[in-house]
Amino acid sequence: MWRRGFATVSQHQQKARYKPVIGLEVHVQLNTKTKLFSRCPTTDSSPNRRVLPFDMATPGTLPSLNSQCIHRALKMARLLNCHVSEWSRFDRKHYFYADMPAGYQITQNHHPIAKNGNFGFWVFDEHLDVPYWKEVQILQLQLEQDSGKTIHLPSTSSEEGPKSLIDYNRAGCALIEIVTSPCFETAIEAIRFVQTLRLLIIHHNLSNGELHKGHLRVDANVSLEKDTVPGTRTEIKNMNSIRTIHTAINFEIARQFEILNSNGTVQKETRAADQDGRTVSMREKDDVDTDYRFIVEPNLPKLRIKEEWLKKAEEEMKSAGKADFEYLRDVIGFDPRSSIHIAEDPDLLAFVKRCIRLRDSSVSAEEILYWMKQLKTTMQRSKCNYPPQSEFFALQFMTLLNLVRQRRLTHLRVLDLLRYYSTSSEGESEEAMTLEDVTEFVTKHKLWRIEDPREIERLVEDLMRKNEKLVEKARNGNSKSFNRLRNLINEATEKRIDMEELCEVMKRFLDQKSI
Amino acid sequence: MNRLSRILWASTRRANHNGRSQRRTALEGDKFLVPDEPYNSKIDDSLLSKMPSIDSKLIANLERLSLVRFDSEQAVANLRNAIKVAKRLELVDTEGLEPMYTVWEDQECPTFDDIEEEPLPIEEVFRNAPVRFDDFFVTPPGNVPLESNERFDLNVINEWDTIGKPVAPQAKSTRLVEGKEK
Repeated sequence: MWRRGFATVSQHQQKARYKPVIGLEVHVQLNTKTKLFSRCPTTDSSPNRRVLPFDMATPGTLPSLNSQCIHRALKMARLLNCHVSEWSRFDRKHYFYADMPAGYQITQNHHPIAKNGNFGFWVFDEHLDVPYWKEVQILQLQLEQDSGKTIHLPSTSSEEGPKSLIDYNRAGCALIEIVTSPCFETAIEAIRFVQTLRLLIIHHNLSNGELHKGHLRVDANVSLEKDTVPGTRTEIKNMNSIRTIHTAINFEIARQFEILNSNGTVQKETRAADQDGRTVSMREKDDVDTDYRFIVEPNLPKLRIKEEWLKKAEEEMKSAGKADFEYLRDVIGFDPRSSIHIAEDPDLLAFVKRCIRLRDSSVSAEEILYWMKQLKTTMQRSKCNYPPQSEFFALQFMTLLNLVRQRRLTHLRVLDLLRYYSTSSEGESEEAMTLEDVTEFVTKHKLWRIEDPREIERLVEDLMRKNEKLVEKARNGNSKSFNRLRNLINEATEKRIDMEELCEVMKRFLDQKSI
Repeated sequence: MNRLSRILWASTRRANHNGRSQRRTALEGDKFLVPDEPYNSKIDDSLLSKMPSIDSKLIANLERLSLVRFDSEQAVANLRNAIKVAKRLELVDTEGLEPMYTVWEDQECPTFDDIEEEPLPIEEVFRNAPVRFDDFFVTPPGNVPLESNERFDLNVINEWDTIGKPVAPQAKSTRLVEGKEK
């Protein structure tokens, strides 16, 4: 046991000498109606139904540029506080893949549409006591074409070798690539960046932002710096879920640490993340000398950014206002974690928005969060779907919050009412239709908290008299009996006495020698 | 026989066009701008930077990039010669000049509004596809690394310059072609 502890400590010291250095490339698929260089629709469809001659590189076809893509790139530049270049240019990056029919991708390498930006976000985690604000540098922002999709078929028989099936629907769709400087130090920072960016991209209608559909694809460059000496980096390609980004980066850090710690060398290579987030070496080993033969795209003249384009992008960004998570965080006062968490779940967001609309400004974000947590537990116990969808429930929820806040209802009573309302107010059952407002319900069933101390004393005294045996045991210091007595009184008074108050009164009575 | 036909051809030309070749300009009477005789470069090749030596790794790399297989020492030597001709551009003084990528640098980048056009009908999409599987194109698996065994006599290629012959000599040793003995 001692030895194991010692080994961990020494490895810990070793680890402390290495600092992970992570840079991200985020590919954002724009949600324009047409592709980047052709007026081909981008809607979902069966294979090869969204193709124009230019998209399959038919000789003689020429590109021209989708003005909406420029507009979205300018908005993205504004979002990431980038400097928009007066003019930008397109380059050809040569690959030989069947899903890239021209043999090259039109991208922006040397003169991108925008560069030198920065982006700030909150970093939070269970292991962090307090969230912290992090700013990352954005190196550049470029418009580029997407590739088609390939399905690899393994060899079916001895005569037939392996082959690939190609779908060009996605070929030529518009992407914006965001390149960050290698300034992330943990996987958590990286995923918080992607999560925050994603919500903003959706808010400003730049992309549909669905990771599992590939609207956002993330590559990460990972290396370990030892005593400020930079290490060899590997690139993890095409991660399309937040969880994969997190696990794959951590896996890669651990893998490189193992190699370096046993005096090995890290290979410069491209790696892919498998389903569990492990990184595995990808295709050719000769990554180091891959030559993309960049040339200036001769078919597209320089793109000069017009003043009115910038103005339009600026105005649209302003009128879009704050994103939901920013509103929750900055206006209502939710903590960074909760605001992102709520904004990422459409149902939860709808519920919270409904509550906020009905909110009395004295109710704080913490209170809402606390009761949401109680509600979640209650509903899960009774196997109901959390969060409730109806406007009616939201109103009852907020009314209850106000009432408990004003101490008109006890904590336990509110829990009971939450359970009752959440399980019966949803759906279109007869019960749901005939439910009355919670204030009426409480008045009708006389559930208000008993406020008069003399009344409480009278009730407690009365009930204690009826349970003399328990009282005797409790007086002798038996805590179980005390609790039983307390619960008994609680039930008998229909949870109308505040728990703290009840305990206090009970103790006072018990301290007196006899009742 | 060959000689006879050439004489015959030359005499016909002379007969038809009063000694001028059979070239035509867009408008009658315009001046011919392409000279009749090949122009011999006056560039002093000795001023050019040294040719890089070609090794098997470079050959493999070039083959991978171009997707073209060299079939002999002669082919590689021809490329070498082409590079040498291109190298003459090094002698042009471009100090302080922005490179141009088109002769019409001021033109606007053409743009279009984000309005859909009818995509190609599926039959049109597959019109030139030799193999089709359902609605997919079928291709061999991508990026199979090329093997780079020693197929050529590198000495023959690299010494060609110093030999100064117009045609690179064939390698004398038996060559391995695609891993098989020829």
